[in-house]
Amino acid sequence: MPTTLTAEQIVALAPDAASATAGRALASLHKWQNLGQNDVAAWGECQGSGKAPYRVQVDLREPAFRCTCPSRKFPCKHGIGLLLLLAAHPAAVTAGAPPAWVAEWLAKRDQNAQRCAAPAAGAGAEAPPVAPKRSGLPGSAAAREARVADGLEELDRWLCDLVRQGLAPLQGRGHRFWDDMARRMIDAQAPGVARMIRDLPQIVASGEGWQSRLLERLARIHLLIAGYRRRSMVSPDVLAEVRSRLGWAQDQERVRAGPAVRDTWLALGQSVTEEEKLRVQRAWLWGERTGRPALLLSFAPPGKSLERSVVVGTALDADLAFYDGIVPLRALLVQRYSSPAPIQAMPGHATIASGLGAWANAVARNPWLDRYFLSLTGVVPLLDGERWVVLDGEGRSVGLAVRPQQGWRLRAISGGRAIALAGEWDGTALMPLSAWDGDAIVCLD
Amino acid sequence: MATGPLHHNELWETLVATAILGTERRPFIQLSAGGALGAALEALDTSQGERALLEAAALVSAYRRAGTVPEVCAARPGAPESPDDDLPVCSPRAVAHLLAMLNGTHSVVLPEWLSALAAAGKRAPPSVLPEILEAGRTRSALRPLIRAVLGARGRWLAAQNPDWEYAAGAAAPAILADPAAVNAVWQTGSSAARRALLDTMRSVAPDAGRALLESTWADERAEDRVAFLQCMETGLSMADEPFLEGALDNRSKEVRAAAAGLLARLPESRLVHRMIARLAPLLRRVPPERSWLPGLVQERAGSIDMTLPEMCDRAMVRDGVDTRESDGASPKERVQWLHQMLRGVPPAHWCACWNATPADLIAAAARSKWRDAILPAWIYAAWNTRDADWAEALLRLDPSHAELLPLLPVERQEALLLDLLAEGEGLLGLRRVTGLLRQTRHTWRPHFARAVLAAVRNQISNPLLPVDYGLHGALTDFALRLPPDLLPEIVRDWRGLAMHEQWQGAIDRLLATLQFRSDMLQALRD
Repeated sequence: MPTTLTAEQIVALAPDAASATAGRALASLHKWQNLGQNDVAAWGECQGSGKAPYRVQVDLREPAFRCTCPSRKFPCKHGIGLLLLLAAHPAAVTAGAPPAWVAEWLAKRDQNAQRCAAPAAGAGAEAPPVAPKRSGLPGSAAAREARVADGLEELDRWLCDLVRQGLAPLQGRGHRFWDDMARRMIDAQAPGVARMIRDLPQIVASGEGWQSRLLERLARIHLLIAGYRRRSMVSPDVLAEVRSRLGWAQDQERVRAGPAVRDTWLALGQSVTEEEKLRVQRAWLWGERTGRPALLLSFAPPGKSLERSVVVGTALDADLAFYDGIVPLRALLVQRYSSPAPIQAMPGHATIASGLGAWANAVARNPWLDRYFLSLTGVVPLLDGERWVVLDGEGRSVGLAVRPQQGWRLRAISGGRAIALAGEWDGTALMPLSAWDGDAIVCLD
Repeated sequence: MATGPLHHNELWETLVATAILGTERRPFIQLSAGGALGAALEALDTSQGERALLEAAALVSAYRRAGTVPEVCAARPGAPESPDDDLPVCSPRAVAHLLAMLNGTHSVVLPEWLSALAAAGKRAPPSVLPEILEAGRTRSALRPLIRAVLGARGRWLAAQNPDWEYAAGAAAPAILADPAAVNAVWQTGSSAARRALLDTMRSVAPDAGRALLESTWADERAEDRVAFLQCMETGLSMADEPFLEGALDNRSKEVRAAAAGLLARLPESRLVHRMIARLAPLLRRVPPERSWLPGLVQERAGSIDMTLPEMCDRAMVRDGVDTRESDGASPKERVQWLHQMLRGVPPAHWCACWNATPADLIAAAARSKWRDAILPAWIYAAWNTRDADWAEALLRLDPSHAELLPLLPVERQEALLLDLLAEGEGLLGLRRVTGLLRQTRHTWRPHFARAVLAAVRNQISNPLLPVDYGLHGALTDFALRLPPDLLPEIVRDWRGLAMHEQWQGAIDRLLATLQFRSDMLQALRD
C-alpha cells in the first residue's frame, strides 16, 4: 500500500522546518539501502554520520515512525525522508516481507492495538453509563472525594470574601495571592480548578473591562462548586463534566471501551499552546456524516515531541471514543479503517449566525465550555481599522484573534473573496487555525 | 427593593458594578428580567448576598455567552477583489524551500529562488505572499526580484499595507495607460511611491517620465530631486540632456553632482564637450618610443603628461567640479580639479582622440607621474559610462576593482577570470581573483566552474600552504555560483581529498548549499 499522503502533508508531519528540509534532502534513492514496503509499513537503511546505517521504519496506517538515529526530534528527518521517497518513487521501493527488525516492531504495535481494542469489542452492552469510581483502593477514592469537597468549601468562602469586599482592590494583589489559593486546590486534589485560579491574575491585568471578565470567571468557578455540591442530584453527563473540570482524569482504557463513533473524520485544524510548562496540542476533527466536532488532545513536557496522530488537511475513516461530558468533544482515536486521504473541501457553517448558533447550543448546555470549534465557509477576512475580522454574506462579522502577519496571510489567501476558515472560538473572538485556499488546507501556525 | 425588568446588558452591568464595590458596601438586590432568565433569577436564594451575586452572575453570563450575536460590520470588503493570476502556482516542495529560507536556513539562496520562480513562469501561492513581502521590507536588495514574482494578487495585497508600499503597483505598466492615476500618485503619493512610479515610467516611456518630473521640478525638495535624478538613469538618452543641463543651475551641490554624473554618460552632452575642451590643452600623450636594440624591437607604452589648470571658474563649479579655493590654489587642489574633470569624460573619447586601445592608454597612465589622478578618474568614468572594454582593461591591470566586473557580459567575465587565474601561476592566480569571483552574479558555466574548482582543490590539498582565510570565506559565495548540475561530479572529486581540517567544514557547507540549490531548482521545475 503506497502512502496516500501528499508531499506537503508529509512535510507537515515534520516537527520543524529544519527537519522538513533535511527530510527532503534524504528523499533520494541513492541515500538508502535495503528499501522495502508491504501493506502496512515501509522501511530502509539510511547512511548517517555514524558507522552503522540508521534503521528507519514507518507504520503507514497512522503514520507512526521509528528510527535508530539519536535525534530527539519526532518524527526524525529519516522518517520524513523515507515517506517522501515513497511518495515520489512508489515503484522503486520493492514490495516484500519485512526484515526481522521491522516485523518485531509491527508485531508489538499490533499487540498494543489489540490490547486497546479488545475491551471495546466485548464491552458495548455493559459499559457503565455513569462515570465510575476510579479503580484502586476504595478508601483512596473516597478520601479524594472528601478532600475535594473540603477544598471546594474553602474555595467557596474565598470567592464569597472576594465579592463581599469588592473586586476593585484585586489589582493590587501580587501573584502570591492567587498562587496560594491555587496551591491549596492542588493539595485538595482538584488540579482543574487550580488551573482556573491560576488564569485569574492574567484576567486582572487584561486592561479595560477586566472586572467584567473576572466576575464571569469567578461565577464559572462558583458554578463548578455548586455543581459538585449537588453531585448526587445531577445527571451522569453533568457529573462527568464537573468531575473532569475539577481535575479527575477519566480513565483512558474505559473511554476506549465506551461506544465508538465511526465516521469520516476530517482533520481541520490544530493548535499548540503552553500550559503550565506542558505543551498541549489540540487537533480538531469534524465528522463528515455526524456533523460534530471532536478534539484530540496530546501533551508533552518540554523537550519532548508531541504525538501527531492526525495530519491536518486529511480525512480518516475511523472510530472515535468520546470522553464523558455534557457536550462530548474530547475523544480518542481507537480504530482506523483507512489511511489518511487529502480532504476535498472544507465543511462548515455558511453564515456566522449559524456558526454562533452551534456554539449557543453547546454553551447553553455546558456553561464551562471555554473553547469551541468553528468552521465558516463563506467569509472575507479584512482589516477593520486596527482589528482583523471576518465578514460573511449577511454583513455580519466576528473578530479574529490573530497576529498581524496571520491576518495578512488570510487576506492573501482570500484575494478579497469569501473563503472557508476554521478555528477555535472562545466566546468573543475566533482564533483561526486553518483556511481553504481553493485546493487544500493551509495551516496558520 | 426590586427593580423593573432589565435588558441582559443592564443586568450584567448592575452585577459588575455591585461586584466591583463589594456586597459589603453595595448589597445585592433582587434583579428582575423577563422570560426564562427572569424566572431563574427569581428562584435564586438571596439570603446570602455574595453567594446570590455569584449565582446571578453565572446565570447571566451563561445567558449572554450563549446569546452572542455577530456584529453588524461597519466595514465593507472595501477594496476591490484581487484580479486573477494566470501563472501556475509552484509546487508545495518549492514552497517548503521558500519557507525554510525565510526561517533562516540557506537564506542567502533566496534571491536565486525568486529569480528561478520568475524564470520558470510560476508564482508563489497566496498564503506565502505576506512572508515574501515582509522579507523585502527588511532586505531592500530583494525588492526588484520580489516585484517580478508578486503577480496581481501580491500587488493587490501590498497596496493594502503601508509597510509593503515598495511593491504596490510599481511593476504594473498598466497604470501608465491611466493618466489620472499617474497624476494622483505623482501629486499625492509618498516619496517612495513617486520614485517607484518614475522608475516604471522611465523603463517604458522615458520621455513621459521626464516630463512628469519637469512638471513639478521647481517645487521639489533637494533630497527628492537627488532621488528622482537617480531614477533618470533608467532610459537615459540625449533627449534628457536639456533638462539635466538646466539642473546644473540648481543651488544644491548634491543635485548638481547627480546631474553632472548623468550628463557625463552622454558623449554628446554639452557638459562632456565642455570638459573635453577644458582638458584638451592640459593633457598630452607622450608617444611610445621605439628603441632599436640589436635584434629586437622594444615597444613601450609611452606615458601621459599633464599641465595643471590655473583656476577653477564658475562654469567648472557649475559642471560639478568641487573646490575649496577658486584660484591661487595649492598644486594638490589643482590636481583634484583635473581629476574631477577627467571623471566627466567618457574614457572612449581618449581612444578616439589618441588612436589607441584602452590597454595602451591605461599602461601609459600607469607610467605617468600623474597616475594617481588619472587612473581613479578613469575607473570612475568607465563605471559611470558602463564601458566594458575599459572595465576589462582596467581589471587586467588591477583586479582589485571588483565593482567593474559586472560591466562585462558573463562570457567576458569568465574569459577574463580564466586568463587572470592562469597568469598568476595557479595558486597566486586564485588569490588574485578571489575577490572578483565573489563579485560574479551569474551561475558559472561548467568549464569555468571546473577550472575554479581545480584551482581551489590545488590550494586546499597542498599541506605546505597555510589556510587562506580569504578563500575560506569566499567558498560560501562560490556555493551560490556553482552550477548545481555539477554536484555529483564535485562530490566524486572532493570525497577523500586530504585537506586541513579547517577546510572540511567549509567544504561540507559548500556541498550542503549546492545540494539545497539543486533540490530547490528541481522543485521549481516540477
